[in-house]
Amino acid sequence: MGRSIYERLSPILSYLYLILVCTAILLPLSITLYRAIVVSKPDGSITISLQSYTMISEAFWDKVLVNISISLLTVLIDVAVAVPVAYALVKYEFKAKRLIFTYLNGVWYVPGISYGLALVLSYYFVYKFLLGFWGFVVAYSTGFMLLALLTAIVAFRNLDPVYEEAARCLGAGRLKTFFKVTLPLVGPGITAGVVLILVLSLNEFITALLLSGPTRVKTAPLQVFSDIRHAGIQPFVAAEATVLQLVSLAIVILYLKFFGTKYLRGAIMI
Amino acid sequence: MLPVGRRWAALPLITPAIALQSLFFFLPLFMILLVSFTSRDSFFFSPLYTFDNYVKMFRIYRIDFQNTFFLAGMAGLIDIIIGYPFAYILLRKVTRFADVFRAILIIPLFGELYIAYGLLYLILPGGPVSRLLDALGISPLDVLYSAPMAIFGMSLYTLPFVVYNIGISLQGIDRSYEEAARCLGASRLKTFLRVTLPLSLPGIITGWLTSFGWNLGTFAIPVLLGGPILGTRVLANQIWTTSLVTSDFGMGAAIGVMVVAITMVVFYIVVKLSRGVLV
Amino acid sequence: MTRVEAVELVKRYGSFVAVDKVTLRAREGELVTILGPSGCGKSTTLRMLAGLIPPDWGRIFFDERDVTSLPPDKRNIGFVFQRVALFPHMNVYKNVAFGLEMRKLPKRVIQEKVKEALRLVHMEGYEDRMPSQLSGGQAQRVEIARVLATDPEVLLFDEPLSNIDAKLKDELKYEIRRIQRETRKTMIYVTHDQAEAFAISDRVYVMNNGRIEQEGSPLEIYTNPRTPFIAAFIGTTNFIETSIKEYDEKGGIATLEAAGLEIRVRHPSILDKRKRYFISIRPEDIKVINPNDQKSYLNALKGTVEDTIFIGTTVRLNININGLVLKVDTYGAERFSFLDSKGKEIVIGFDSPTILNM
Repeated sequence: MGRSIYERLSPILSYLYLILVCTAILLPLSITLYRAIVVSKPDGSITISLQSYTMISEAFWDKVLVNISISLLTVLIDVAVAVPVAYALVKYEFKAKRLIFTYLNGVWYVPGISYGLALVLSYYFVYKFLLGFWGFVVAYSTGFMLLALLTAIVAFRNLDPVYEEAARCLGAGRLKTFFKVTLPLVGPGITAGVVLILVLSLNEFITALLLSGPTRVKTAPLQVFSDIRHAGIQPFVAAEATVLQLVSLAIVILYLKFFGTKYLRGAIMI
Repeated sequence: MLPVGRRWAALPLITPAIALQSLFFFLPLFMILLVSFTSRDSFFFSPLYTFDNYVKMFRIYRIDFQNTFFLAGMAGLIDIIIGYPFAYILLRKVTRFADVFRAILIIPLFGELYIAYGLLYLILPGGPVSRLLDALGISPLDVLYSAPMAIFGMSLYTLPFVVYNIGISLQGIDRSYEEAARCLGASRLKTFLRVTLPLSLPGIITGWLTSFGWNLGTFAIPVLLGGPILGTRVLANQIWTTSLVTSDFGMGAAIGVMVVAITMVVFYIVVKLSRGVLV
Repeated sequence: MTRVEAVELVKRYGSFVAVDKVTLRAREGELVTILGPSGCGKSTTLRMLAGLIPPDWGRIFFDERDVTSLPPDKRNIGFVFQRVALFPHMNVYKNVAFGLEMRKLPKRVIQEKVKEALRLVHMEGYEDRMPSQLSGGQAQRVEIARVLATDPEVLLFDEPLSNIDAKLKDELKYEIRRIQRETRKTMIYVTHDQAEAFAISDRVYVMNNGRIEQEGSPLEIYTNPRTPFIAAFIGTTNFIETSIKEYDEKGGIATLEAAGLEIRVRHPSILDKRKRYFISIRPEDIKVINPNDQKSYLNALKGTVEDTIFIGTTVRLNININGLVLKVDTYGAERFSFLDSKGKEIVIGFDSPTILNM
């Protein structure tokens, strides 16, 4: 008995559709990359060259470094602050759990443009000492904390309590159990949060745009934005725009190669 | 579970996070609310609280509200149309390379700026598509600086959230409902239309709302792709110009508060309807 | 060797009473089983003994020491879980060494003790394997080695064989018995499998609905189940609801009536003439007898074979006597002759059934 047309066509069409949508998603990045590395000569021929990357100004690379320092500090703070909360939410019984979770979630649902302005105002009036580099670190830590929290909650949820119970029965106290058993086992899950925060904070644009005014700190995406406005679609701008995207992509791919999608699913993936 | 559940034992663990969010999220939120009631002249000296900004806002910036709602709403709609089959196929139809498709879905999270820039080059004069458009007798600028392009960019930006929302609700559907429908004589299409689709409706609604909420705050996409008329007249751009360019912080804050209020309502509905909330 | 004593343990979850005044005792070096269906509170009881759950009420003693409020790491116990609890991020050696490291023993001693423990469970040479590379049975052996290495006072086993396939299960349960004998440790073993419990235990506590229903040696519990629950839970049995027809207060034999039949029962205690009694008789205790042989049995009844079921080692007959259907097991070569006895009239004989407490 032959298979029906539906059964034969369905897988092919399915993959075709996914590939089509993914092409659209990849379009902006690939177009930018194309502009950065493909050079068309006056005689009509086309060559690939990395020359545009050498044309990126020193100032941009400085900003990339600033950006990376901000991101790393953000990750440190968020993990230190969010992991204990996730542990408490999953393992402890107390009232108002949901309320606390919602309270900590709030920032994720406020658009960056409004949040940026709110921060600027509070830096002007209350936290004058944060005008500068640390203003960015604090803003990003607060804004992205939820990602560390979500992934850590998923990790603690997926952790079978039997391992901790076994450790306790074998004579390990509460702290020893946490550091020797719990933490190593939820490590990959917490790393998922680290990756998300790294990627998002490296590329954060709108909050940075507002903060850059009073703090006089510029991050790489801001430099890209102002170069777009002043230099348009010149190859060196395209090159700048790809730098942090490729770094982010590398981080994501590296993570997925080691841990797969398991720890991201349920948090930001299906 | 281990007997760790003493009621107050969790307190030291959650305090730092609560403090961080209180000091640097809720307090700034309160500040922006406060400033939104000040007028431009009194702002730095003696704050005088009035509703002026809100009254003026709906008069002066009505067109910006309309534009933003239109763009964000349309982008959400397109996301549903593209994202529903995507989530459905990813969950039901494919196993090989499924993780590759999942991974690609992370890329829009890199930010709207890059999406805007990539699409900008795509159709600028001299770009790869512009030659094609020239041949068809269409000026690239007509396509470029227009609402459809901005909507396309926005829908790319929020597609992952829509796929996530729809996916979560599809995962929540017990497959035996569908199998029962098939056994009762419903065709594949009928089963989908009468069983699967209605059951995943919450995912569609939350998906659209999430996309809408996120796009209310987009800045780079409408500014770079929407053109000189539409692109500058969106809420995000007005917040930026009024507060940081023309220093009318009161008005900037008022628009900012409006945007927050709208997104809060939107996400309140999302959280109420959604099954993907973790705690 | 340690004596374990639990006195009136109570655990409530909301309004649900999971464990209701459970008192139990394990003597020095004894292997005691808590046997019961799932959800009866046996695991909860064991976890309270381990300190994994605090009891709402009651005390726990190891010898003379009151350990009720001690956390698990201060009790010096060995707990083997139902699911494999080997740490997935450590190899076999590291897993077995974990408890020893917590006791801050010198490295050389740890090496020796790990070796010794792995030898005891026949898992030498697996030190470098990761838990994911072990089969279910191997993992459970390592689990036991990990527990034994720390030289615990009390061994607590929570259905350690329930996720292991039938053949291996049989082998491992005798292994556990052997290890317990060799190490002479007090052990409390929780299971829902009656065969497992009977095969290894010195003494069995049968639990149901959070209470202990009966305590005794496997033989006592099997031959003399005290409640309908135990009679049904352990093995297969025939229940008959009866009223008293003739009854001699001086003891001896009472005649009970059910479905118009007379059943004679030896009764140990005084019966209440107005009450109805449940009696139990196991299918293997009923024999198909020669009609001329009726006198040599306390009870002999005539019935029709309603159905025959081939089980393997036995052939079970459902015999209808005046509307009362009794299950009867036949054994040996003789059993095959009953396979086509459907509809035939036969005579069955049996000794005194057990009277159950209600």
